Amino acid sequence: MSRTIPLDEIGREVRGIIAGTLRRPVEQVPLTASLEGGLGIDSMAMIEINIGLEERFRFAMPEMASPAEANLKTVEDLARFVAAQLDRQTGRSA
Amino acid sequence: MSAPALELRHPDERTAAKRTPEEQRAHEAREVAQHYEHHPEIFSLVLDSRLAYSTGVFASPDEDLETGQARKFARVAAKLNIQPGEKVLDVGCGWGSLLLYLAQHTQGYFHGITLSGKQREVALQRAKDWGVADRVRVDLTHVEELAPAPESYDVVLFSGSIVHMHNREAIHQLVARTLKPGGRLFISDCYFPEVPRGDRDSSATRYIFVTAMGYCRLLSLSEELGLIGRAGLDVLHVEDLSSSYVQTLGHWIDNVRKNRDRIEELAPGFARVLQGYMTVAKLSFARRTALEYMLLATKGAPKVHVAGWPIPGDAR
Ligand SMILES: C[S@@+](CC[C@H](N)C(=O)[O-])C[C@H]1O[C@@H](n2cnc3c(N)ncnc32)[C@H](O)[C@@H]1O
Repeated sequence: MSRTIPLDEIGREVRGIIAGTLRRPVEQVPLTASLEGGLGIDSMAMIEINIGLEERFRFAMPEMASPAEANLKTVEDLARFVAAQLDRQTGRSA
Repeated sequence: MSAPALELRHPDERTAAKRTPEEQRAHEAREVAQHYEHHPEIFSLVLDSRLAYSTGVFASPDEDLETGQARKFARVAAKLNIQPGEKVLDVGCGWGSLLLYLAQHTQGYFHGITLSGKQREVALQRAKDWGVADRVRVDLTHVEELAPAPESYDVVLFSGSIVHMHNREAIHQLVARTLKPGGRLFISDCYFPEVPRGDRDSSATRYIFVTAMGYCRLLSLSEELGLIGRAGLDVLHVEDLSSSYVQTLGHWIDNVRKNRDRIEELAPGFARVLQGYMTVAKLSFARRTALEYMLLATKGAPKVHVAGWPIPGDAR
């Protein structure tokens, strides 16, 4: 899949995948929420979220044991990180 | 002489410790088998061609999975030095990876046991296809129910299997009894560092030990060596394979990624479980919050001579 997916769509998907992993309504996962402090994403949750993202976007996320390891603080940071990874791995034209 | 009790490191071990040995045996037989009862095609998409489901031995970072597993088989064969007619028990033989390699490369007699009927079928079919069925037997049984005759085996193997067994004292006593004089015990498995490192009660630990694998108990290396020694065997050789396991897991994870759709077709949700537990394990071995070792022990005077093993270095 090439990265013609706009950032706001990636953001929606990321929120949905986080909500699904944490078993919470998506409204409780705004882009501004902090991954560790706010949502309480631990190492296992991060790994499961990354697998969910890989299933959805068909790319490879780097392995990380915590969001901090990749300098990710908020849901939006993660969405931007996914977009950047997709650009790198699928080549961006748009 | 009373043995020091083994440490109970996470909640599921504490639960297991409250069960009778019979209850725990039934628990392991049921819970552990579930993982291995998945369609064998899934594992053929993820593992090497011999379906080894334990660490390979890698000499450099660019080697492929096939190379790492081939080196492991050859190294184990060299360590055991199985002679014609010797009898080998492979406890937790999986789909027959190491068992069948050794059957093809020696003139020994091989007895594998596993908790999974599907694994048994694959191992027996491969034994037939590869022309070694007359020297290979595979049974579906928990090792504690095997009741082998005293001094009936020359070699007992555990490759990636002893971690599933809670009652380790009983296992080591059984192994020591069943080995002949000069018999060898081989173990390849994972251990916790002697001093706690990382969070052993974490959701990640539970995911791998219980959700993915049914039941696992990691000892520290000194606990396992102590059990081997107290059962009357002498440790000959210990080798760290933690970085090889990181590499092995990396290959497996890539193979799950490549075959995600087919795995999903065969067992919905299982690709996630595989990738999830393998990622936790890879991170743990990379950070050395878990360690991977190969152990070799002997009953009485050794038939293998570890001092002659080729490790570069000259006396001056
Ligand atoms: C990770 S697999 C390793 C398979 C094989 N040794 C290899 O290296 O490819 C673990 C194996 O141990 C077996 N196993 C686990 N607990 C067992 C027990 N208590 N008795 C017999 N087999 C057991 C499982 O059925 C499975 O075949």
